[in-house]
Amino acid sequence: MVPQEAEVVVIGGGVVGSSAAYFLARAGKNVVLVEKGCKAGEASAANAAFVWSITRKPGIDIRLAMHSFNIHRQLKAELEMDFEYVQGGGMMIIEDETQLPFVESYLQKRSDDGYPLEMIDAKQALELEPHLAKERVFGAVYSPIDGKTNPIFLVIALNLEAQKLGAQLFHYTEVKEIEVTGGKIKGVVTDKGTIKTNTVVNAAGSWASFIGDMVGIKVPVSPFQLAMLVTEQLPPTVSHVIMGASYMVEEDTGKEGGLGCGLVMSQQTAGNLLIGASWRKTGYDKRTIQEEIELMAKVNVRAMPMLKTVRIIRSYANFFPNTADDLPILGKVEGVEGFIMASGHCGHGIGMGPGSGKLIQELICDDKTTIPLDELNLSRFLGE
Amino acid sequence: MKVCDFIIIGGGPGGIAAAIKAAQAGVNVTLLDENERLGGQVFRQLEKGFKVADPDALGPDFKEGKELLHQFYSMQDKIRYLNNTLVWGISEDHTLALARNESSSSLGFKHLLVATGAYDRPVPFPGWTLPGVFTAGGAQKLVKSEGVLPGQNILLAGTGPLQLVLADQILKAGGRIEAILEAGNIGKNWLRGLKGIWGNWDFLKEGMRYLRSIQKAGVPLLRSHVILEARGDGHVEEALIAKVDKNWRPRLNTARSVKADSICLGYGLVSSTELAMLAECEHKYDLRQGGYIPRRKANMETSMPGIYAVGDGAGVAGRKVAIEEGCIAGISVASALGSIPRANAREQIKPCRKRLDKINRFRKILDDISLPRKGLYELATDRTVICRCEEVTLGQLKAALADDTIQIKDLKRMTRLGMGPCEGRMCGPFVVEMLRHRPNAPVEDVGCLKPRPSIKPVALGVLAAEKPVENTEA
Repeated sequence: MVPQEAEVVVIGGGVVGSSAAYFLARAGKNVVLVEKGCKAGEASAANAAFVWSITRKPGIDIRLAMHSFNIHRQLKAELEMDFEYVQGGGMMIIEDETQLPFVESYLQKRSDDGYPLEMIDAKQALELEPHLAKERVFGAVYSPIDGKTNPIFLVIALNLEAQKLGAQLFHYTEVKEIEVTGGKIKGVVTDKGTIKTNTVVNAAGSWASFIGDMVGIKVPVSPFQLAMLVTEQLPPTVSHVIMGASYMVEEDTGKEGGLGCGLVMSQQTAGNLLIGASWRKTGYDKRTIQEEIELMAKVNVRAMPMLKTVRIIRSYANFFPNTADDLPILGKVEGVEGFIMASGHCGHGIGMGPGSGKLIQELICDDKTTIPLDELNLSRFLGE
Repeated sequence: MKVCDFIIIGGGPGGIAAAIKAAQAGVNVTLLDENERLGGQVFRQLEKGFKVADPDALGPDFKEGKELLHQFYSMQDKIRYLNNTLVWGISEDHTLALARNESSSSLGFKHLLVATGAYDRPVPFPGWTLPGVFTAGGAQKLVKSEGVLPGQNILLAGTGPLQLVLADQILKAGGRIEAILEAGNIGKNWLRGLKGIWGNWDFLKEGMRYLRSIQKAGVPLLRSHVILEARGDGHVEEALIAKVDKNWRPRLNTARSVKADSICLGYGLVSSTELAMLAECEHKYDLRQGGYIPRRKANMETSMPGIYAVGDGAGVAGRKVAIEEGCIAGISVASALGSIPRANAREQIKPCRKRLDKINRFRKILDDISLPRKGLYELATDRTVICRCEEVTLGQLKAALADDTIQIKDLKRMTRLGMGPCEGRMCGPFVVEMLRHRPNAPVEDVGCLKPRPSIKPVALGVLAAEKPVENTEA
């Protein structure tokens, strides 16, 4: 059974909720985390494992990403369990000449904002990743600070450490109701009992809207399926995290109901390549389909012909909690005192989750944050 | 995409029997098999180029299989048979994903029979990963299809009649067996089973024949014995064995060492249910029948309409059961497709069902003897590797399970259990039993490692290859 009261109840055991719970426990808060499924069960387990900044847009997006880089490094030093975080560099491959104008204008905007990125030519890119197909590399955007992690281990490392600090974690525990009296949070009703609390963090990811409904707040976050493939374990083959520029250039394929696919590659410490990716709207259907598996194979074999003889051992998919402006919803919610949003990371949760969790802790403990959260407030969607 | 009336996956006895029955009724049958040659594990044919002087040496199942195969081949114009074909996925709109001839393709079906067989139950104990330790099935494959012996001094450990079959095959191929360890207490249960044996003379005859051949060769058959440990420097050199109590817990004062350069483990079989699970057929857990198995109606249909399952893949029961079930499924599909009238189908199914009931009576006794007892799951030590792909030890699993809210999905994420190429086929059955024996475990369903496509490894080049021009022939 869950405890009778807590200072803060975090709903959602993914990377965002787990980070928030860890930092809150470290700050001395009596925190309870409830999660309907298993540890690292949803999008936090099934993603590209990137900790990445290249495609983070000027403004609050890149600021949050950069802040989160610091938090990843801090966690690497603080958490006992190794979660395989490596800043091995990231590359966005410019696959053909037609992508160039878009990429150049993007780089200009990033530079104007004070976060410049380096452009490298095809020769340099191929020196960094010699297995890439020459004819598919026109050049690349390079970032030395980007890298990868083991997202599952990251969540588990956060959970273990939070428990050591006194946080209580309840998996397989579903929130049924949130008690609100006079516009204030009073408690969380779960299938394992009721917890009295004045503060709730909605870190339910793709399920955040259901939690919003419980307090009468519309949370415009919807699930968006992203699928990837896992290969057998290989010797070191891909040292950077790699993405194709088509991701940015053709951003909206798939969102219109079709099947989108772009190049994504990273190699896990264990040796497996995580390659993909394809995306489509499926509601809450997690199954992968033959068409997308074959499409991902085509895209990756075309980009790296040596993969032809490499075998996949499975596919996986999950839902990224999507918002209309590709930014998360973080912060207090007007009209419900004590209800704090921390969802909608749109596929950037592994990179931005730890930073977001830290900011939520600051908001709860100090009522002010290292990065102002105004632009990420739910109120930006009001009236839509 | 081509849509077939009836696709059968698996060319073992169940699949072949179903193909014959359905084709006889006029159904267009497509049979897909992963192997080069038809027959499955039990009717495994010799690889091309291998010949045996005396076909009897390969046992009566081989001869029986030959007859079934002969019947199958005589109907080949009515059955489309694709070998070397891996079914790597299935979707709810009744489409299979195939890997064949270096490319990937789709094939639709109206009715599907999953007859994917079983594999040896993995039983971890110290040294089980040493070279020289074989599964009984792996050893049988060597002997049967390549005529190669697993070693010079072979020790068999396990339970059930399949051990005797393997022993017979090894002896016939000129191998030397140090001993056969049977974990069950055959003597005690023998009498209790008389009722079931009544009428099943074939089985009895076959069993007696194996026992005679083992006796003649002077091979000791040690009842209530298990292997505790395999030892050797880089390869098996000796095995530590001991007598067990009724729960198969070793009596350590009886432990002794036996010299052997190879060990064949045959602790029964586990159903291969990856495809049925991927097809989202409802499963139930029954250790006696091979772990998680699909729920079925009397006509062999699973909870998913149009998807049938027979043979060891739907509950381990041996080749004779597989054949009868295959016949029932083949006739049922023919009836569902309207190829034969219902009444006719009922008449045809009756004798199959009768034979099935008779065999099942006998099966029950064997199952009672061979049902793995608790002690079998206590042989591994903290340092024993349980998940061979990711090298996860029992100690790691136990540490994670110290928190009693941890379930199989959490274990996978915490330790990488089952994340390798076999997708949990090797570690899953052990871990499920381990979880079931936890205090306060939900005995009914502790869950399992769920398969995801591709259910077996497939090369990216195969998935990426241009699709073959659609084959329009029937």
